[in-house]
Amino acid sequence: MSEKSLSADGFESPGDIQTAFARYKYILPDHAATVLFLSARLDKPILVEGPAGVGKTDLARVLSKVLDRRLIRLQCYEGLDEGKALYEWQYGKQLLYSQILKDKISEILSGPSNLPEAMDRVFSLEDIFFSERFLQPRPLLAAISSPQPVTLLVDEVDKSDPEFEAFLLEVLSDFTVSIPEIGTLSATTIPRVILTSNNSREMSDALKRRCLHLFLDFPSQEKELEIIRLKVPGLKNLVARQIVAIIDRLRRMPLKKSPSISETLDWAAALVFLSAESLSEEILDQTLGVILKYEGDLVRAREIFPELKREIL
Amino acid sequence: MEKVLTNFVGRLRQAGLSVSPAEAIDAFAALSHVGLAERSRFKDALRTSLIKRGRDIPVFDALFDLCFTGTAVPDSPAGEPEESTPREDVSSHLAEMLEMQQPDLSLVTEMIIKGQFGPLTKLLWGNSRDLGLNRLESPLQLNFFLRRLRNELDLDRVHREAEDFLQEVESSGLDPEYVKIMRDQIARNLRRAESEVRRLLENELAQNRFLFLRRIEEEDQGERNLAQLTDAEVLEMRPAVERLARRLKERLSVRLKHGEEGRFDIKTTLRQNIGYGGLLPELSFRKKRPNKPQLIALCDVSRSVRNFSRFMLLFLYTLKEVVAKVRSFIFVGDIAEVTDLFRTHDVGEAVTMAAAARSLTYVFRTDYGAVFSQFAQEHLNIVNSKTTIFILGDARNNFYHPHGEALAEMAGRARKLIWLNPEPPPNWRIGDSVMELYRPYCTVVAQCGNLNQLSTVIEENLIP
Repeated sequence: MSEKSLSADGFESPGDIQTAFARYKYILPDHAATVLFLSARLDKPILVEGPAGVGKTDLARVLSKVLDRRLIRLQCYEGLDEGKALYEWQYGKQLLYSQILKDKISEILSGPSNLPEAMDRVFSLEDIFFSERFLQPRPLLAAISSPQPVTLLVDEVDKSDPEFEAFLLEVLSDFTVSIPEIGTLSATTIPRVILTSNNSREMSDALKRRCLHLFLDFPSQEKELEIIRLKVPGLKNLVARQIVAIIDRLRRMPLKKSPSISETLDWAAALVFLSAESLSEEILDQTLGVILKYEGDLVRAREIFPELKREIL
Repeated sequence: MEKVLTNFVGRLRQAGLSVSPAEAIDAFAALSHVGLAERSRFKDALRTSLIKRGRDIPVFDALFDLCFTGTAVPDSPAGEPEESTPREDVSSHLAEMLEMQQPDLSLVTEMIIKGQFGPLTKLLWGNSRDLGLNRLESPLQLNFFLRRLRNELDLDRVHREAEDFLQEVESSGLDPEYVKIMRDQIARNLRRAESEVRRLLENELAQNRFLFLRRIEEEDQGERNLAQLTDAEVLEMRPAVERLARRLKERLSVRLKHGEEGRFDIKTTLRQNIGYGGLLPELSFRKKRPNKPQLIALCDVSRSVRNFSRFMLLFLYTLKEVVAKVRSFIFVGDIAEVTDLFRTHDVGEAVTMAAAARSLTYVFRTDYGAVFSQFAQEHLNIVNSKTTIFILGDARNNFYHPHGEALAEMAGRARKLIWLNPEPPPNWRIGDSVMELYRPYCTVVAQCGNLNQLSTVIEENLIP
C-alpha cells in the first residue's frame, strides 16, 4: 500500500515539496514540508492546528493541485453524523425501483408453492436492494472508494462531535468502512488526508496518535514579506516591509481577531491600488479597517499609533 | 540511536507530556525517512510524531536542545565538528597497529587509543542508570559523579595499558620519534576522553535540572498562599491560571452522553422520513442543550484582602475566555461592574485598575451589608436560575449591618451561591467576620488560599 502512495507522490525530499508549492504561490515553511513529506512516506494523516487565517485549508488545496489529485472536502460541524459524512442509502430510489419491478417480483415469487420457499426466494433478492447501486457515498466513503487517489480535507474537525471522531478514526486507521447491510468496504485507493482544527476543543487521543501533527503559526516577518512579494508583486518594497512590521506588532497585542495572512494580502493590494510610495499615519488610519474588523481592535490599534510612527513609519 | 530516542521520549514523559509507545515507534519510522544529517529536519520529524498539542511545543523545544546538544551525545545529528587536526591525528595509525599487534587491552583502552569517542560515550551513557546519573540534580554533585565515571573508566588502567603497548611497539623497532608522536596522541585522547565525560555529565545535569524545576514549579504554584503574593508574582501565576481555565473549558465541553435525549422532534422526524413514504422508522429527538454556566462574581478589593483579590481578578479575567457569560463586580463599601474593563484591557492593566477600585465611591472599609443591598436593588435582574454567584472575600464586615436578607434574595434567585474565603475556617468565627451568618444562604463555603484549593472548588461546582 505504501508503494502506491510513494510512487503517487514522487517527492525525493521535503525541499521538492517546497519547490512544487512555490509554483502555486504558496510559501511552505520548512517544518511543514517535512511533515508533508513524512505523511506521504508513512501514510499518515496530518492534523493541522493554528490560528484562523494562517493557511491551513489552503495547504490542503494546494497539496491536491501539486499532487494532481481531486480534492474532497468534508466541512465539520456540531451534529455531523454518519449519514452526512460516511454514506446514506438512497431510500427514494429503492422504493421507486421496487415499485417499477413490482410485476417482475410477483412473477418470480409466483413459482414456489409454499411459504418457506417463497421466503427463500425473497431473501435471495435482498441483496439487490441493498447493494452498492443504492449507496450514496458521502465524502469519507467517496475518498476511499475513488478509483483515482484523492486528497481528503476534513475541515474544522474540532467542531464535530466525539461520536464523529469514532467513525472518522475507523476510516483513517484501516481505510475501511463497515456498512451493516453490505459488509466492509476496503479502500480502492489511499487518500492523502489533512485534518484542520482551530483548537476550540481537544481531539481524542486516539485521533491525535493516528496523525502527524503540524502547527502552523503566523509567518515570520521575512516569510510574510516573501509571501507578499509573491502574491502582490506591485507593492513597493518599503511599503511591504512597513506593513509586515506593523502586522507583526499587531499580532503581539491581545486583539479579538488578529490579522490573518489573507488580510495582510488584502491590505497590500489596497495599498497598491492607492499607489502608496510609503506608509504614512494618514494612510494607515484610512486603511486600518482592511486588517482589523472589530471596533475594539481598531481602538486599541489606534492607541499604539505614536509608537508605530516612531518605529516604523 | 534507539537508546537515545527512547531516553528522549522518557524525558518528555518526565516533563509531563504523554507520549504513547505507538508515537515513539512513529518517531523511529519518521527518522528512517528523514535521516540524521540535518538538525532542523531531524527536530521537525520528531516533533511531528511525538508532540500532538500546540502548547507542548515549547517544552519539546527546550528538552530537544538539552538532549541533542550535538556534542557529547552519541550518534548525535549534525554535531559540532571535532577539534581534531587531521594532519597530526595518528589515531588511525594506532588503530592499525592495534590490529597488527592484537595486544590484550581493555575495551576502554582500545577505544581511547583509537580515538573512538562516540562509542566510548555510548558505552558510558549506556551504564548511566547503574551509575545513578538520574540523581544528578545539582552542580554541586558534578565532581562526585565525575569521580564515579572516572572509576568506571578506570583511567589509571588505561594509562598503564597504553604505556605497555607503546613499550612493545618501541621494542619492535619503530622509530622513537614516531613513538613519541603516538604517545602524545594517546595523551591527547585521554584528555579528550575526560572532557567528553564531563560534557556528558553536564548534559545530564542540565536535563535533570530542567525537569526538576518544572516539577517544582507545578507543585509549588498550587500550594503558594495567594495572600502572600506580590503583584508581579500574581501575574507570574498566569500560566497556571490559564491551565486551570483550560482544564475547565475541556470539562465543560464534554457533551452529554448518548441516550440523554430531549423531547420528540416532529419536524426533523418528518423531514428525515420523507423517503419512506409515510412511515416513520427513524425517530428524532431534540438534543438537550448542555447548561453553559453563567457566572456572576463579586470580588472584595479592600486592603485587607489585597493580594487575594488581585489573584481572583486575574482568575476572573482568564475565566471569561472559558465560560460563556462572566460578569465581574468589585466592591468595598459599594459595588461596581468591571466586566467591560476586562474586555477592553490587557490582563495586567485590567487587574491593576480593578484592584485600584477607582470606580468605587467608598473605598475604606468593606461593608458587605451595603454591598449586597445595592446589588439586590440594582442588579438582581441579571440573576436567574442558570446563574452561579461567586463571592470572593473574607466576610469581615467591620461591624456594619450584615443585611443577610439581601444575600438571601440573591441566593434565592440563583442556581448556586459559592463563597470563597482566603482565611482558614477557624478564623471565620473571630473578630468581625460574619461568615457564619452568611453561611446558611450559601451552597458552598470554601477556603481558597491557594491555586489547588481554587481548582478543587471550581471543578466540584462549575461542572454541570
